[in-house]
Amino acid sequence: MTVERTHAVETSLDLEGLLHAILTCVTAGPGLGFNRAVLFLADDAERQLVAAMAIGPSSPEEARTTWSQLAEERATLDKLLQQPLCDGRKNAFRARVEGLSIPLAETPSHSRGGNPLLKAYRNRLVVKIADPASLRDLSADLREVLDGTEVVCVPLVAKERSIGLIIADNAYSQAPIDEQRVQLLQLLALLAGLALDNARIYKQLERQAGQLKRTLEELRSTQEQLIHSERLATVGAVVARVSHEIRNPLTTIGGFARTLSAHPDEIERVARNANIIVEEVEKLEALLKEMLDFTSTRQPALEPTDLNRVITGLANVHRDELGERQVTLDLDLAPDLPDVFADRHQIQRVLLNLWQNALQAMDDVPEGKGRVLSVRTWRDRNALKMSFADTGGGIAPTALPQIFTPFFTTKQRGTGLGLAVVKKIIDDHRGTIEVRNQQAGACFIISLPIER
Amino acid sequence: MARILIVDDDDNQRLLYRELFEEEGYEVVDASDGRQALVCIERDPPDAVILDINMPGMDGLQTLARIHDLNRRLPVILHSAYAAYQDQFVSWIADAYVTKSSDPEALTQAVRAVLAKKPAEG
Repeated sequence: MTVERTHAVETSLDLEGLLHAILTCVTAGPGLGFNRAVLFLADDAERQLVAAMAIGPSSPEEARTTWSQLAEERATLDKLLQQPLCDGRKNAFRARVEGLSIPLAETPSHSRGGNPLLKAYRNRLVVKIADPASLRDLSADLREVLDGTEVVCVPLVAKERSIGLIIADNAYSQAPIDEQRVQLLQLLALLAGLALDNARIYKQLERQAGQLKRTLEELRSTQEQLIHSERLATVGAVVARVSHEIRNPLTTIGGFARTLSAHPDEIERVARNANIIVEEVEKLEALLKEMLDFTSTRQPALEPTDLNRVITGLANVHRDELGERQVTLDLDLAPDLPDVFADRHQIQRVLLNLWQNALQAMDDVPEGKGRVLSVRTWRDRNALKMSFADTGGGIAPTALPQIFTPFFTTKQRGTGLGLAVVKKIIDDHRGTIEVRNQQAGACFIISLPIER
Repeated sequence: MARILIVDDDDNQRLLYRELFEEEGYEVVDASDGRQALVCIERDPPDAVILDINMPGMDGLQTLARIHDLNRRLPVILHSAYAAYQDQFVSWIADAYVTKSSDPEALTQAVRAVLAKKPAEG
């Protein structure tokens, strides 16, 4: 058997094509040269063997024409293997065989030693049957097809398991089936079994790939739905929080406005309440500004900035507040730091925000239990770093990953925009900000590039 | 003269409702968080409590539960800028839930209603 032949059998993964290739090898003159061959495959439940492919002429006349034609064409096996499946010459016999089946169920056999086809299949043996038409174990249809000829049956085996049967004969030439042919057929059946198993696995893989693809598509659409509903939920949360932040000042403004109109003559009271109204309006304006800042696309106005001076400036402005809240400020600023290119006002906002967060976090620390705000600066290669550490107990680990997410907040008051704005400003400066919990509280570390 | 305790962390709102209820003829005390409120109630129980929900530290709903433990007969009106707290079942033990509004009518009405319902002492 040539290398090409076995190659054609082994590499074909599409089942129809493979079955056709196997039987072409069995029947072609340049192959094993049997007159006809039928290939049966066990069905999935292994209840019966079903005719899956057949090659051969359907009558002596057809046999003569076909063979002389092939002889004239000097058809090689390669050429035959490449012939299209729907070649008219093969169809009549194939149509006759199509639908034939051999039940695999154990039924009392009419033959001595049992049904020889089943024996070939079950025991993985090559069986020669001299006169199949006389075998009452075979169905009438099958007996009719195999009438008047000696046949040979070889099992198709894959991974130590029978998967089918090839039945071949020389119905027209009536040439005896010699031992050499049988051995070659056996060898071919061995390769065919492996190839069929490959094809089965391939088909299974294809089916699984299809299933995976469908699952993936389902996942994608579920994900899209999730993103959509999450977006709606976020919008809902934002609306709830913002409306709360607006309603409080509005309630106060409206309430005091009513007292103004009810008592316009009480000058002192009017003045006091008008001041309160102004205060509340300022709160609303601050809220509006925070929201607009967050959505603004203004680029930072970069200029050489002395980070240490910004920090000491902030500390000086808020020194009284530190005293009131009984917070100790621990400044550890590296001397001789180079300037960073930064937007001074934006950096001030960042520091103020972290500063206020730290002080608020320490409000619940009992007095005298150490409320310490530590601010450090240092140089780390091409970056200036500063850290803000408090002793307020830290941030809940569940909240940590979301701390910079817009509208996320752990506070009763606040829009949840503070740290989102901080992150945005640092991002705009091509810097980084990270947060972690230390022994006593939270620590924010900012890194800003020194070079522009 | 009935005494009302106003609990709210917003200074200006405490001022507003103090003015409002004093004008209506009530005696007013106030507290800026839940803890202070509980101290006031233990020291000298008022006739009704107006309780904000969103407050730092012990929030209004937690405070409500504590008040309920302390004195089941003390009428409490929850007063919030946020209507959705009514979904939290602890809010149901309050005698009324009023959403904050620039029109104080709903709040004053609620106060009148809970005081009228309150069983006479002794």
